[in-house]
Amino acid sequence: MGVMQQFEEPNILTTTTDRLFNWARKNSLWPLQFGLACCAIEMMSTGMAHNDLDRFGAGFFVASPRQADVMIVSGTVSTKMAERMTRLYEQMAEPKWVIAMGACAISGGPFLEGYSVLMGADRVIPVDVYVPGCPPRPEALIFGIMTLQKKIERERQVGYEKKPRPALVDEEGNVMEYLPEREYRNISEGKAARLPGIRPLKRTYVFERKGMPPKSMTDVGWIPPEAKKKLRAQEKARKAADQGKDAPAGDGEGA
Amino acid sequence: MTVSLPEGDLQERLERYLEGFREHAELQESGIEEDVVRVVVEPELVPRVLTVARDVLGIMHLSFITVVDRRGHFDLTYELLDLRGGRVRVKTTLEGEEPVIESVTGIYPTANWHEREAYDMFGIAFRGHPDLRRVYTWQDHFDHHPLLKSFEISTKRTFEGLR
Amino acid sequence: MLKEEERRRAETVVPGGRESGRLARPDIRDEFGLETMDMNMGPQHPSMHGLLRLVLELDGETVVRCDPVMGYLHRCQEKIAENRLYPAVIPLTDRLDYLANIHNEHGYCMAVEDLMDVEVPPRAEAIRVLMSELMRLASHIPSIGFLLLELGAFSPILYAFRERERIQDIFEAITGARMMFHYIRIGGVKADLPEGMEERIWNYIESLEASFKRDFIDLIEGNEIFVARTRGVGKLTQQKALEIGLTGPPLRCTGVDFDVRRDYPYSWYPNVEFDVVTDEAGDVEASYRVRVKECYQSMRIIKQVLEKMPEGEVMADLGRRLRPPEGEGFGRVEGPRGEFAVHVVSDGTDVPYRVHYRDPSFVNMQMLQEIVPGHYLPDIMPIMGLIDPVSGGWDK
Repeated sequence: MGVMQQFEEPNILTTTTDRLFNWARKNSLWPLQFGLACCAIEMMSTGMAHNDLDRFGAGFFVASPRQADVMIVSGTVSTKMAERMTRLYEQMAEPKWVIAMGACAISGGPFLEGYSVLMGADRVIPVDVYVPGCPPRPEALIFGIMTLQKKIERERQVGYEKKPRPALVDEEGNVMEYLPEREYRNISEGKAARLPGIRPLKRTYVFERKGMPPKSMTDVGWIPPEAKKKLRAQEKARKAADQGKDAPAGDGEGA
Repeated sequence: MTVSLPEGDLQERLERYLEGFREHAELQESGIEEDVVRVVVEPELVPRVLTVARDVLGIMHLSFITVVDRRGHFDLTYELLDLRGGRVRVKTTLEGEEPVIESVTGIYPTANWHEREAYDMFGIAFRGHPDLRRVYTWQDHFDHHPLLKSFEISTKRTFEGLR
Repeated sequence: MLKEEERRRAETVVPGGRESGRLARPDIRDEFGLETMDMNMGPQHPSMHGLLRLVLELDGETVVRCDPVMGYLHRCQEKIAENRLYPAVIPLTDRLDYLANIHNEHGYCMAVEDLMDVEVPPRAEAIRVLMSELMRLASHIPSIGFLLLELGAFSPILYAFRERERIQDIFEAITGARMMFHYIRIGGVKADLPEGMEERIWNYIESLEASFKRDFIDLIEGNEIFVARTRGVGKLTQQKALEIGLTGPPLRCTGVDFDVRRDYPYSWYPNVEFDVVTDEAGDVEASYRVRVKECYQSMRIIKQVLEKMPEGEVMADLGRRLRPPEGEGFGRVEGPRGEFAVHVVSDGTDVPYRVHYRDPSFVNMQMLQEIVPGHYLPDIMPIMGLIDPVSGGWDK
């Protein structure tokens, strides 16, 4: 690992080792046993014989965060548990990823209004893949893990704008393994702000696509004929209004 | 050590329970409606009524303790089961903002956690409870009692910062 | 069910008495300067039973004091239910005890039907009983699997989840969902059983009856390690169990035969015949036997319901907006973990004023404070297998 950081830009050596490391990492993602609530049952179901997670290399659920690669947050994160979840996340060794499984881990889910429910796991830890559902089917979780695998394939050892930086760095530039104790209690007590000098992690990323997804992904399928007629009438009206607006705008610009 | 459960006709047993309650304690209201013996008492008499239920009548199971916040007073309901079809509901009303009532943990030890839950959610103090702590919310610094009607929840409420 | 020599062999493997821990020898404590150690079995731990934190005080390996700290999954269900319309509370109740969804829904719907004095059509009642018993199977079988997974065996849980997948396939064909069904509605059931469903359930139950003994009894029961780790562990007497307030399999494994289905009959249960399963021993092995026999009773009930299913509609005619009169309603159901009761208070609007769930896991967990002291640290996991709590239940 340290050898590759000698290079400043990707070259044939680093891309080859990238492929090797990413292949190794994505095919042996060991999840942490972090089943919180109902999604945990579906996660266990995914790990069992019918929907086998072991064929992806991810069937070995470890109990200790030190040995885990991916933390599948499955279930509602209460603020009491958020403190412990952050501690566990920081005890995991790099490289690590987080899958937010289920509506509760993504955004609080059906319990959004609760006074003790964290509105999404990504309020305290960075999340890589969101798997929606309540609970998501095992096939959906497998799709989430495959998406994570595709994301891991894209990683590069060199060639970021800056060198990959460690997670918790305070103002002087010292790397900290854990936050100071009061930070964890702050999460539990509900105080949001982290220490100003600690840079937030930037692993969550948005798909860098240009434009809209292909039409097949936005196709709703079958629409009842009455609704279809109404939609077509609306489309025609909107197009007419646009053309009507175009003419005066063109005039205005011309003049 | 085997425990013997009550036997006999249900209506007779309910009548017997009602008579037992009326005899041993001063009730505000009492009656049988639809196979349930309904008893309303003052809060101070609740331990007496439950002692009567356990020792005299042989009712061994306390099913739940419910608290309802009626915006000014609290309604408590203790439901007892005699495990063979009979139900006894003991109701009482607690006045005031910070109500106190005697704990029944000495009579029915299962009430331990029910009373802890009532304290956590409503702030009702149970005198004589061996271990009155919060059970669901943070034990150190959550100063609210969530199920009171004055505690409102919404998606905008961020509970002092992070949620 | 064991042969005589197997039983003798299993019993000699039990280690020399739980009384031989150092706890029973306070005389040597000061001599050797011993003291107890406080240990935290934190909310995330390799057991399958949910987010429970146990603050333990250990004297060597023996537990002196055990204090469960809960609330790591508190989801404010009772508070949120006060902001939802009556039918919209049903998906929330689904998520209470998430291995027994049907029972939760049933309890809530019974409470609201009691409040509104609604008559549920008989076919709907029969379908509710059918789904309840299928859910009981889908809950007891993984419970056995979890008990054994925590003891270290990996095969039974694979077999258990295979059966659970098949039951979930049946549920998916009937209700459309694998886990959170939202099927039992106020006044009946959402929709009738699809065509051919009775056949399919019947065939499945026949095949389960044939393979149950091979998968879940023969593999587990005489196993020396299983017997050594579960016989005599978590010993409960009937008096103690009733004092703690246990219900369900933990109570019935001591010998008290209390079952809400028979003693406080509801729904279609008066029309089916079944036995209430009890066992005398009161330890973890007894609870395993009780659960196994209850699975057989469930299969028996399902077959009877399929034979005698009445015809008719499946939903009472209630109108769109449910606005119950002022008052209270109570519903009580026998869940796989014990007695699940719901108390609904209404003030005349279309939103409940107060919903209170009496969850069996919450009450059964009091057993940990009373029974665990005196046992070794590794005995905590089998005792959790006896109680079989589900964290959505104890934390609401």
